[in-house]
Formats: sequence, structure tokens, C-alpha cells
Amino acid sequence: MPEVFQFDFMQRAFIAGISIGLICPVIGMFIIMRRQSLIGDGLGHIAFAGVATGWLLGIYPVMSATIFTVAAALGIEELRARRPAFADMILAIFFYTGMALAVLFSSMSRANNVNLMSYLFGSIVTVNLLDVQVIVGLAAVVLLVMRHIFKELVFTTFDEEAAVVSGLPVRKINLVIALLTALTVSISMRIVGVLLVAALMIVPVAASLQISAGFRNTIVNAVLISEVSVVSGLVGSFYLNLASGGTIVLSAVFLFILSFGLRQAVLDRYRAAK
Amino acid sequence: MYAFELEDVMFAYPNNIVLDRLNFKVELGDFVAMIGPNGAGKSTVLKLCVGLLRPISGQVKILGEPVAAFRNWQRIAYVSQNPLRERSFPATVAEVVAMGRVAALGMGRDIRKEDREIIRQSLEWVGMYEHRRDIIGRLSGGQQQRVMIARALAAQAAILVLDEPTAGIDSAATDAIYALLRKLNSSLETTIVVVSHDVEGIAQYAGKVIKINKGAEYYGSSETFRKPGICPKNKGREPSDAVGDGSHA
Repeated sequence: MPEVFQFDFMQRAFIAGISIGLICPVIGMFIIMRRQSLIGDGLGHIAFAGVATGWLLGIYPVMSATIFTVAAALGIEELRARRPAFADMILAIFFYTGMALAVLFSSMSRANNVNLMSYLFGSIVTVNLLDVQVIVGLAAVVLLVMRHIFKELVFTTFDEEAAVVSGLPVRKINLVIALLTALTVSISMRIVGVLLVAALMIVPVAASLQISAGFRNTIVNAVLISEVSVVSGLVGSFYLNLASGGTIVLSAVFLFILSFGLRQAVLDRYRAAK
Repeated sequence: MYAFELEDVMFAYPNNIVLDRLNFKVELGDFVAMIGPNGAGKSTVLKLCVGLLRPISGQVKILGEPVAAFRNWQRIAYVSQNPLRERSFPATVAEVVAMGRVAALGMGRDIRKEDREIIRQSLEWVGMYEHRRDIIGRLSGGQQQRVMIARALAAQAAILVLDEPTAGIDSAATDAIYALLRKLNSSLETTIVVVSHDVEGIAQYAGKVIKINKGAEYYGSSETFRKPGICPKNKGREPSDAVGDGSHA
């Protein structure tokens, strides 16, 4: 067995990484198509405020981050529904509030920099058994809910007004996707870090959009790209002794450049044949 | 039985009265063209009809029930003015038409064999079956509208409401869409209410015309409307029976 799979901490990192590699692009597909790509970043910063609060109060940081992101996601969605014209501004206000609270609470908690850095940039050595259990459990919940409302979610994302007229509970569906995005952010931060959590939602989908046809195919390819990025990023992190968030996201960006180049090559050949 | 009844309906945005005591009824089986100048409130009327907006005063009824109490939404299909909000949406034509089955199926239930048959028939009906694997965003405007009509057909809705389905589409594709709507109305007895800025075009296909300008300035048969002096731009354009594939946009 290769050395990278022999260590307990790497086995935990792979289980957690593969779980988030599965859910991030599935959620990401919907937030991109809803033109809410920045919501992952906003919630990432709010999650960091939750982590700092956890350190301050002495509670499990993933739990406090989950509470913060879920509350913020529901608040953002509620305000967005009431004032859709100000959706960007509302997100920005939540974003800055999250960051300000994070700065405030982390300075109050006097948590050591190593611990906080592991949440900011992701760390494979600090993922413990409880983290793995929470990540796998919540990832399963996210997937099951997505499976249950998938076709309603696709219709609502494609044409919200037509979905409302057909009688779908669009308001509730929008709240559920906001909730699932919050859960995904809070469980992914242990591996990729709060600063890069949104990248794993966006970049694999962006890469898949270059080479896929059909909504389901795009999601399937995005998940494959995401998993390749996670596994190669974790291996890179282990051998190069680098923060896992950076290696995973750079792997995804590399695959995006590859898929973009592939699409351009196909288009060039098609144009030349014409 | 009326598909829609609007009684003394008022609607306004701050400092802008859009509709003032609007009254009209659409009978089941009608093909009604809603026309009027820009800003006259045509799209607002349509959104009031399907419950996307609520009037300040007056009453809107769908199939005899006040809109707030109406629950049988599966009988109505709505095609908005810009249904393809995100052009990079990677759905295939078949995936878009399958959305028409979503409300009928209910949550947690997958598309069944009989739903696939309905989707196939709907696509064939609008002449888009060969395009079923194409990405919706790569089709012409006319073809996209046909797919949206197929989605409404797949929903097996009795009432089809369309907001400017021919906006940005050339005249050949526009005529093909109108002809398709007329065929839908005459063959399947689907009630159709369509908003259009193309006064001379739509009036030749629809059975009735309603001219909106805050209130209903005219509501009657399209035949009467097309007589000289009533239709503002009637230049005697003849209707076409050719449904075509609408791929000229």
C-alpha cells in the first residue's frame, strides 16, 4: 500500500475529502445557475466567525460554524426574496459582518494561530474522527435531500416563475437550497478551509460546463473532476507538506484549464471543418 | 366556465397606476391575444391572471375560484417573457420538456416510462423531437419557444399563458409560433392567452383580441378587430397554416 494511505490521519482526510468532493459540485451547479456564485464565499467568511465563536465559547467549532452559516443562509435567502434587486448588496453585508465577527471573536478567544489557520486554509493533519463522522453524516443528509427534490430544484433554477405557476413550493425549495449550501460550506472547511470552500463548489462545475452536455451529465462530470481534484490535492498536500485547501483548489483549476483548452481545440477544429 | 375572470382589478407600482378597473373574462377554449402599447400593463395582466402578482383591489378568478384559494395549478402552464434566464444552462431539450411533468409527479418520484412517452409526444407535436438531445441555449429563439410550448404540453395543462413568446424572433418564426398556438387551440382545445406587441400578426391567428391600456380598450372577436379603423396597424397580413420548425430566428 502506498505510504500516503498508511497513516490514520490520511485515511480520515480521504474519507472526509471524498465526501465533500461529492456534495460541493452538486450544490455548486445550482448556485452557479442561479447566479449566486459568491454565496459560497460569503458563507465561508461567516463560517469563520462561527469557528472563532466556537473557540471563544469552548464548543466544537464545526457545530458553531454550522449554526452561523445556516442562520446566515436563511437570512440571506429571506432578504433576497423580499428585495431581489438588492441581492448582491445583501450578500456583501453578510460577508463583511461575518469577517468582522471572525476578527473580533478570534482576537477575544486568543486561539492559537495554528488552529485558526487550519480552518482558514484547510488541514489534513487536524481532521479527527469526530470531524469525519460529522462530515460523512451531513454529506449523506445533503445528498438525500438533493435526491428527493432534484427535479423540483432543476425546474425552479431554470424558470422560477413557471415553477411557481405550476404549483411548486418555490419559496420552500429556495430555503432548502440555501440551507444545504450552508451545511456544505461548514463541513467542507476542515479540508479546503473557509477561504477556499467556495472554489470546490464552483471550479469543478465550471470545468464540467466546458466539456459536458445535459444537466445530469454536467453534474456527473463535475463530481468526477471534483473527486480527482480532492484526491490529487490530498496526495500533493501529504508529499509536499502544503495546506490541503491550496493543493485541492489548484488541482481543480488545472483541470478547468485543461477542459477549457479541450473545448477550444474542439471548437477550432469544428470551425476549420466548416 | 371561465378560465380567467378579472373584476374591477386595480394594480399600481409606487406613483404609477398600471391598471385601473380592468374587467374581462376568458372562456375555456378561447385563444385570446393581449395587445397594447409598451407600458400598457399587458404582462402585468398576465401575471395577475396566473397569481404571480396580486391586485390592489378587485378580484381575479381562475376556473371560477379566487386566485388566493386556487389550488389546481397543474391545469395552467406559463411561459415567461425570458424563460432562458441563464443561457449557459446546460439542460437538453428533453430535460427542459421533462420539467413539465415535475408538478404532476410530486416530490421524490422519478420520471416514469409513461412520462417519457408524454415528453416524446409533446416534442413531436411541436416538431422538436429530432432536437431532443440539443442544449437549449444553443437553439434559435423560435426553437426555444417551441420547447417551452412542448413543456406546457407535457404538463397536460388546459390553459397556456404566454408572455411575448415572439419577442426578438423574425417574422417567419413568429408566424410559425402563432400557427402552432392556433393548432394547439383548435386540435387540443387548449385555452391560450398570449401577450404580443405584434398587433397585426397575432390578431390574424387568435379568436379574440383584448387591447389593454390601463383598462380594456377593446375586447371582442379578432375578426371585428381586424376591420379597417379598429386595428391600429392592420395591413392585411395573411395568416399562415405552416407550423414549420421555427428555426429562422
